[in-house]
This record gives sequence, structure tokens and C-alpha cells, in this order.
Amino acid sequence: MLLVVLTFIILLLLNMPIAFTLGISGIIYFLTQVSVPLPVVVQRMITGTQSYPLLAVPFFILAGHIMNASGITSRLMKLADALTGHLVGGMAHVSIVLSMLMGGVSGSSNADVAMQTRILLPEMRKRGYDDGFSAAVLACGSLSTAIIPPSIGLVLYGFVGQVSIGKLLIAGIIPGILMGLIMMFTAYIYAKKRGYDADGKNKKKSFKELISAVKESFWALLFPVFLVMTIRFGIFTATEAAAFAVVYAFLVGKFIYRELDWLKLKEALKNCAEDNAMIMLIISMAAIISYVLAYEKVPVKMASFIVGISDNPFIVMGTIIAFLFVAGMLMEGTVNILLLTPIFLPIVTKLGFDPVHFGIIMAIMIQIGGITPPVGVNMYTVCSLGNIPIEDFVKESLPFFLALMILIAILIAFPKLSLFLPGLMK
Amino acid sequence: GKSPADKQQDSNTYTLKIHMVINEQDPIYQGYAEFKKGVEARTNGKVKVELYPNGVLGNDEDLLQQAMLGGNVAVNSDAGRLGVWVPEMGILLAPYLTDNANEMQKLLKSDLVKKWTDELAQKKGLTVLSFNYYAGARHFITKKPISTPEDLNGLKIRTPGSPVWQETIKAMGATPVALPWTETYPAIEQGVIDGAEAQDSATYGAKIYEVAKYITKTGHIQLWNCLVVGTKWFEQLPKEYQQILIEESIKAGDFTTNKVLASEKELEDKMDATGAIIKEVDIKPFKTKSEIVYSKLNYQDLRQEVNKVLGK
Amino acid sequence: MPIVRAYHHNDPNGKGKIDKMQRFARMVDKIESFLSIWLLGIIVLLVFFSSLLRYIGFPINGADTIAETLFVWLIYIGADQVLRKDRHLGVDFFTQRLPVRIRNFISIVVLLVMLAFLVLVTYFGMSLTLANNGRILGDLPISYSFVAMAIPIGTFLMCLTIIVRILVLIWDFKN
Ligand code: NA
Ligand code: NA
Repeated sequence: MLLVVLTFIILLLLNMPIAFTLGISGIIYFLTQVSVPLPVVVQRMITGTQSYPLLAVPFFILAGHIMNASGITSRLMKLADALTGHLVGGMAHVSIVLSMLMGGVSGSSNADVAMQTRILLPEMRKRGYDDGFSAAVLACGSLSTAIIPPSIGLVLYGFVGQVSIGKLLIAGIIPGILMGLIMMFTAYIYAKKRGYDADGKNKKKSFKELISAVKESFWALLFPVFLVMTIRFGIFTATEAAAFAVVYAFLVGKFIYRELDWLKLKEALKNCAEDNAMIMLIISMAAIISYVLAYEKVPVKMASFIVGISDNPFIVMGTIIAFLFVAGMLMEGTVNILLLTPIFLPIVTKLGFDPVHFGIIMAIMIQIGGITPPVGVNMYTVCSLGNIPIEDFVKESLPFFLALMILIAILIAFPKLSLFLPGLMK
Repeated sequence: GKSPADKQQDSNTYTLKIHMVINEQDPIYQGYAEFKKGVEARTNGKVKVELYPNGVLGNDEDLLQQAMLGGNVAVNSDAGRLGVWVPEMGILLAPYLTDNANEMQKLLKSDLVKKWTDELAQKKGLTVLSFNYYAGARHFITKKPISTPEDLNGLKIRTPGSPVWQETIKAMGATPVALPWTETYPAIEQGVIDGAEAQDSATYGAKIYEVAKYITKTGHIQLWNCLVVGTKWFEQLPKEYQQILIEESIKAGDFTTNKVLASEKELEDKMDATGAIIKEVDIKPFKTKSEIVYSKLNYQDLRQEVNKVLGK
Repeated sequence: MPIVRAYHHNDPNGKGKIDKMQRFARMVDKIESFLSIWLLGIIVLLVFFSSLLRYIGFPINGADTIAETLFVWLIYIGADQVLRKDRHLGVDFFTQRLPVRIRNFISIVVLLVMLAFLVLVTYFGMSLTLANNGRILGDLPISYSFVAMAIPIGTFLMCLTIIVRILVLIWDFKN
């Protein structure tokens, strides 16, 4: 087992792709542990992908790609601008609100960060925002995209933990919106202090302009509503709803916005196939390690260790949050969901936490992992695209990080914020 | 004299990992806990048994394949899964094959079933240690009350994937939907399906009665489980240990069966207390309707053989 | 790393070999592209229509099993494309601080380790495919081998991709 851990760390440091790092450290165990035949490695790689719920992941990615190819982004940006462009720190708010709106079509935050960095960062620079602050707003502000349904992180959590994915998606609505609002609040305070967009040059848009922006993005706004409704009323499972979302996105792009042609559709399919392969290869390889962990009874041992610390549910939850935070610093989010859910979920459910409630907390902690050094996907994206030093990003993202931790505390203390909407589902 | 394998037994230790998708509360899990105790005591800990409930090691098919490949895993299985390799075994799950648990017990101990398990061991590499873990009789758990087969018409009912099961549900009038057991609860809750069919311990364990409160005691299938290991792994054990494993598995199976039979009423009372409505029905019309399964799956001749064993 | 690269160096023989390899890689890429687009499209439509039919009361058992089966092919064909474009997520936080020559050397070592792993998986994947002993897919009369085969074929393609990359890297290293 020690050999597996060492291999894992060394390969990761050498910039071996994460999927292969998982696969190779897993196969090391099978090579040294003679009682398990080696073809089982391949069997695990297959089984890791053979799941109906998992299909929701490429479907949500594809729906997002098709929507983007249909010109959804520019329409939603106009709306975000009409809603918040006039506030102090206007550009910051536009970015955060755009993330929330995009959240309704997109399942992950990373693509959102990349897109916004390209579109919004130049404008923020022009208006005198510090680079570090802009980077922090773009990266932290985008996290709500991954919590507002659809959400790939929540699909994966439901898949691993065998929790209703439909409920999880619906549970993400309120926390996702709260997340956006808290980010806006933090950005507002800093913008006011530093005088970003504080001169009142950006006039408030007229009601007419607002209505026209809403009208233009109507079909995109309807998308998450359609998604949530079909799941909420038990018409479809999350996977089926995702397949319908693809068809919906196609129809809107082709016949309503009329911006989608076959070439763009082909491009969207191709990009989705690649994004999907990237995530699923990790999932496939992680299935080898999951088997090793189960075979060695690591979850059971970890659970008795953590429960041994205290039997107070909040202390145990605090310990788990701390653990998730450290894991999030060091590891990529998908891997953390796949490997840590089976360990922590049984512990917290035994203590009386709802699996859906914990899913939301876990998903947000995983997102926070994307903005914390040394390993943070969203942080890398914004810093490398914007050519901004990571040190500046870290310094300026601290307040946003603290705001997110406060949100976590609030969500733990008030389970209803997560459970109220899925509770209406019966 | 002692064979080489027997001489080794003092130094070698073995570990057997038993995979099952059921949880720790299930009587079958408790049966395997007895098995573990018995085997470890009688081999002085030379054969260690570890239990893996909740399917943490994977799905049944994968684990059976691992056993075939020579892995040190055992699987809690049933005639449906094994019927993939020895098709005759499928008849053990045919509707109303026997009238009660006693008859089935007699059948499972017969030479007829032994012929099938021998074929499985020799040709397919899976050795059945014992086929005597009673899981229970399968009943319908639905959102709507059921009293005749006609009430099942148009209902989407979750069943395991094997052909006998599918045909049985279809013959009774419902539409079979193959879903993993773990997805059954949310699927009923979301209205994707209208119910399931399962034995009491499974219904209770997965809390299906919370989302579908009508439990109709049709008892259409008697579900018996067996403990399966890989022939490759089994045959490298000293003969003495092989014998111990078989004996302890039979003991554990009987322990489980008695426990299930004794706790049936208690489980139903518990579910009843939460608002579930458990009802006995006249099973005759269900029996008549499901008769067609035997001809559909070409089980008529086989059924004659079974009836001969049962003295019917 | 881009698929198509121009090579300006003095060795016409070596250049020819690399060009040939890259033409081959481009062809494989085209075929894979075509397959992944169609596989993904078919999976979406399969799930869409099967859920539509289930909703109106005609569930087709096995549609989900077919979708899952095609899914593993989609993943492993796509994984090779991602590998060719070097888009598989890694952590370059530490290696990017090293001098270029050491970094290139590490890249070659990492690729060789990956190659060894992929060769192993291809071998055991083939043996699993061949030794599957009558296992079928869920309730469908389709052999499990059809799913199992996706892995050795995918990893074999990745072996080729890595060999091309190693050769190109060594070439760069020498020049
Ligand atoms: Na989203
Ligand atoms: Na991090």
C-alpha cells in the first residue's frame, strides 16, 4: 500500500497525466499482491465506465457546447450587463452574474473561466482593475456554475455514492445562487474600497433594454427550468433529462437562434467527445484504485479513525471539511470525488447528515480545491490565459475564499438551504 | 501418506474475500459471519475469511469473473446469474416451481442440482460451496394495491435482468424493467417505475416500502442464494480445508434459512408499523397466468424431472 | 503538442520518417474523429428515444446496456485523441520550474513509463477479452468481449501515439 502511495506522489510530481498516475499506481498493487489476477485491472477499467447515470456527464457537456455554438454566451452577457453593469465594481458583477446564468447551461466551471478570461479580462484591465483582483473574481466567481444545475460534480458524487442525482441537482439551486450572491457582496466591498467602476459612468440600463435582453436569452434561461422541471416531476431520470437537454439545445440552436449549422454541430460533438474522454479516463483508471482501497478495507479503517476523534457530528464534519480542503489543494477535483466520497459519505450519514446535503457541501469544497494552490485547475486557467502571477491571484482570492468558507459553515448549519427544494419532490 | 498439498498446510495461510451486495443487516450477511467464525476456528486461522458487504468490491458479474480467473474471492450468488453458464439452473427461479421452502430445500440437495453445480465447477471454473441460503419469497411492492394479475397490467416493475425473471413478470401482466437494485428506490420515487418485486429482507433493507407502500404476498419466486468460489482457487487448498469450507457453508446456509423463516413475520410487522400495507392474496390466478413461462423457456421436460425429485 | 509539425533539419532521411509517421497519425486521428462523433451522436439518440418510449409505456430493455457498451468505446477512442493533443490533465506545477533540457528528459521518462503501462494493459485486456468464458452483457445475448475489447484496442492506439511522441521528442532532444 505504501508503494502505491509513493508511486502516486512521484508520478504526479513528474507531470504524469492524472489518469495514468492513477492507473499505474493501481497496477503496482496488482503486480505486488499475488492473490488478485492481473486481468482484473482491465475489468475494473471497464466497470468504472459502465454506468447509466454517468452518461449524464457527456450529455451535459454536449448540451453546453451546442448552446455555446448557438451564440448563447453573447446573449447571456448582454443580460448580465443589463442587470449589474451599473453597480460599483460593475465588471466584477457582470462576470459573477454571467457565471450564474451560464450555470444553467454548463455543468463545469472550468470552461466558463476560460471563456470569461478571454472576453472580460481585457475590459477589466481597461477599466483599471488590478490583475490579481480580476483573476480572483473570474476564478472564484465562476464556481457557482458548477453548483447550479446541471452540475458534473454532483452527477459524479451521486454516481459514486449512489445518491439520487435528480435530488442532488435540484438541491444545488439555492446554494449555487447564494454562492453567486456572496461573491458579488465580497466583490462589491473591494470594488468600493479601491474605486473600481465607482465613477457612475456606466448608466443603469432602461427597463426596456432589460426586457429586450431577457427576451433574447429567453430560450437559454428556459433551459435550466426545463431541466429541473422534468426531473422534479419524475418525468425523467437525470440521465434521460440530460439527453433531452441535448436535443433541446440542438432545436434552439438550429431553429430558433438559427446559428447552429452541421459544421458547428460536428465541432461540438468532437469537442465533447474529447472533454468526455479526459474526464472518463480518469474515472476509468480511478476504478482500479477504488478496488484497491476497498480490498484493503481503507474506507472502514479511515471511518473508525475519524469517528475515533470525536462523536460530535459537527467536529467530525469539521474534520472532514479540513481533510477535503487539504485534498483539494493537492488533487484534482474529479479524483477527490471518486476516492473520498465512499470514505466520507458512510461516516456522515451514520451521524445523521443527509447524503444530498453532504453532496452539496462536498461539491463546493471540490470547487474550492480548484482555486487553491498548488494544484487548482481554475486558478491555472485564469493565470495562464491572463499571464497573471499565481502569487497575485492567491493574495487577492483570500477574501473570496473566506466568503466561501463562511458559506460552507452556513450550509452545514442550515441543511434546509440544500434540502428544501428536493424535499418538494415526492 | 500425505499429499504435497497436505504437507504445506501448516505453513500456508489463505484469505477468502466474500463479496455480497446486501448490507450488514441482512440475514444472509449474518450467515456469512457464522461461516467466517466456523472456518477460522476449525482451520486455526489458517483460512481467513473477510466479508465485503454493500458491493464495495464491484458488481456480481465482475466478481464471478474474478473467481473464474483464480482470484481469492467468493460471491453470494443465485440461480439467475449462474444460469448464464448452466442454463438448466435458471429453472430454480421459475414461477411457483415449488409450493414452499421445504420442497425447494429438498430440490437443492438433490442429485439433479448437484449435476448442474458439478458442470459449473468443471467446465466454467465456479465451485458452489453450498446452495442453501434462503433469501425469501418474492412479493410485489407497488404504489397501487394489487389483488389480481389484472391489477399488474401496464405497471412497470423492476426485476433483475435474467430471462426467467423477465418472462415471469411479463406473463403476470406487468412490464419488466431491469434496473440495478440500488437504483430502484429513486426510480420508484421519481415515477420512472411503478414498483418492484423482492423478498421481505431486501424490501426492508432498501426501504422500498417508503416509496411504494403496497406489499402483495404473491411469493411467485423462491429466492435461494449460494456461496460460490473459483475452482482454481479452491483446488489449491489442502483437501482438509476444502472439506471444512463446504461443511461450514452448509451450516451457515441452514443458519440463514432458519433465521429468515423465523424473522419474516417480524420484518412485516416492522414495515406495517411504518404504514406499509401488507396483504395476502389468492395466488391461484397468478400461478395460472405465469404457467406460460415454462413453455416459453422450454422448461417443460426439465420441470418433469424436478417434479420427479419432489415426488409430485 | 500539435499533430502537424514542420521539421527543418539536415537529415533528410530522419525527416522523411517523421513525416511518414505524422501522416499516419493524422489518418488515425481522422478515423477516430469520425468514430467518436458518430458514437456520441448514437448514444444521445439511443437514450433520448428509449426514455421517450419508456415514458409512453414501451420500455426497451437493453437500450441502456447498449448505450453503456458504446460509451466505453467512445471513451477509449477519445482518450487517444486527447493523448495526441497532449490534453490529459497533469500537474506541471513542479516540472515547469525546471530547465528545459531536464524537463524534456523527464517527459521522455514519463512517456516510457506510460508506454510500459499501456503495453501491460493491452496484453491483459486481450487476455480478458479472450478468456471471458461465456459472460454476457446484462440481459442481452451479446458477449462481454465486445465491451472488454474496447480497452486493449484503445490502449494499443495510445501505445502508437506515445511511440510517435517519444520519437519526436528524442528528435528534438538531439537537435
Ligand atoms: Na451548472
Ligand atoms: Na487546489
